[in-house]
Amino acid sequence: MSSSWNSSDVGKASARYFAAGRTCSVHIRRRQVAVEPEQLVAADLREPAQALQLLLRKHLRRQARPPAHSSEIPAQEATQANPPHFRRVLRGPPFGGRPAPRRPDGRPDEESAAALFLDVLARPMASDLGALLDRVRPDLVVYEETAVGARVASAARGLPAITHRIVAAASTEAAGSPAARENVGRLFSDFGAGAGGLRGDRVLDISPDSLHSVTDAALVSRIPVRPVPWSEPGGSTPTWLGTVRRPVVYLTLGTIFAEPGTFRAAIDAMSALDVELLVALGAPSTPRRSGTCRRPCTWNASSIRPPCCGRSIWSSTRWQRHHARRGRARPTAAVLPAGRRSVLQRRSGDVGWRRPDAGTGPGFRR
Amino acid sequence: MRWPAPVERLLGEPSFRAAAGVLRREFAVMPHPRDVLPEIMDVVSRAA
Repeated sequence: MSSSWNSSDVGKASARYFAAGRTCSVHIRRRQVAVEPEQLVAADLREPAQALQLLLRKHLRRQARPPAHSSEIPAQEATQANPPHFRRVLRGPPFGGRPAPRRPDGRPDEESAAALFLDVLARPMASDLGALLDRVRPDLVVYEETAVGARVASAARGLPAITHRIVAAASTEAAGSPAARENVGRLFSDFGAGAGGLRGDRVLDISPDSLHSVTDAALVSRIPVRPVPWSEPGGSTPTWLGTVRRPVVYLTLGTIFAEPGTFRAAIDAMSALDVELLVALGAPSTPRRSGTCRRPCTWNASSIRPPCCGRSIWSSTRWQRHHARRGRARPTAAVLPAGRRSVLQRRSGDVGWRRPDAGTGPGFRR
Repeated sequence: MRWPAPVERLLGEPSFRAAAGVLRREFAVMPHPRDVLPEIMDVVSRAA
């Protein structure tokens, strides 16, 4: 299949593109560039970027293979860069089983959090991911904001990078104390990266303006992108959801903070309401049944598809504010765009919250 | 934590549903992931 295209939208260049087999060829200004769509390879062609994208979309559509963001198609290849011992480190002292360090005013201690992400997480990630980058030589590294090791590894190799922010505030900015900045600088230096630090990358941001601080919303590096619900293959919703007549409440505390005591308090409280209760238990240690839960369920929080539930769902989900706002980012990002009424309970790391109780809707920037 | 007081209060708030609607409209106008690919590609091309 071949096609041609001329447009002033890409500048003065007259672009023609062809799609043949798995490799696409782009002819621009007498220069030919071979493109492997899966690798997002591009050359020094700023103007024809749009043409290249049209080509990629056309090529992928012809192959009946949606881009990597599809919620239905698994990734072509996934390599876990974090070593298995990382989880053991997190579960051991001084992190495992201990409450998050707090400042005198009760808020989480950002310095400790920065040490966790920079020392414990970033260094082994930068080391392991560096070997992978040397082998694959990708044209772009997309890293989640707290995956600082990925940024370090890409910077050390001169690879461009984009941040994917799954929270509503810049974690790296929240950890921007002088000590944290010094730690970041040392980290980059130790791995042979320049002193660019963590700022300056474009940011794929899934949060609308009302969930941002004014500063965040005004960031020129921000690329707003709508969250698209995703579930692991095989995930499903309970069949009884299609038959109940009462309002349904979906309760999830995520996986990290799914403490039995918190679940018990929430379930006991809602047992007095005339609702059906769907609970995503998350952690394996959470009790599988509760005497007061009318519809005890055992779904993992990540395997449920809240928007698929047609009736009005009132969702109680953890939504961290300011420092991290992560953890249950996925169900939160699935529920909020669907316009479901939600109660968001702050947990440790929500340093931006000033009120101890729950918040709702776009006004919960308190 | 003050369960269930916040739950009962919020369920009765008239603004509860309206707030959810505001968020839904905000999300609806955000670009779909496929529509931000040109900006991603721009980063790649600038670095090349």
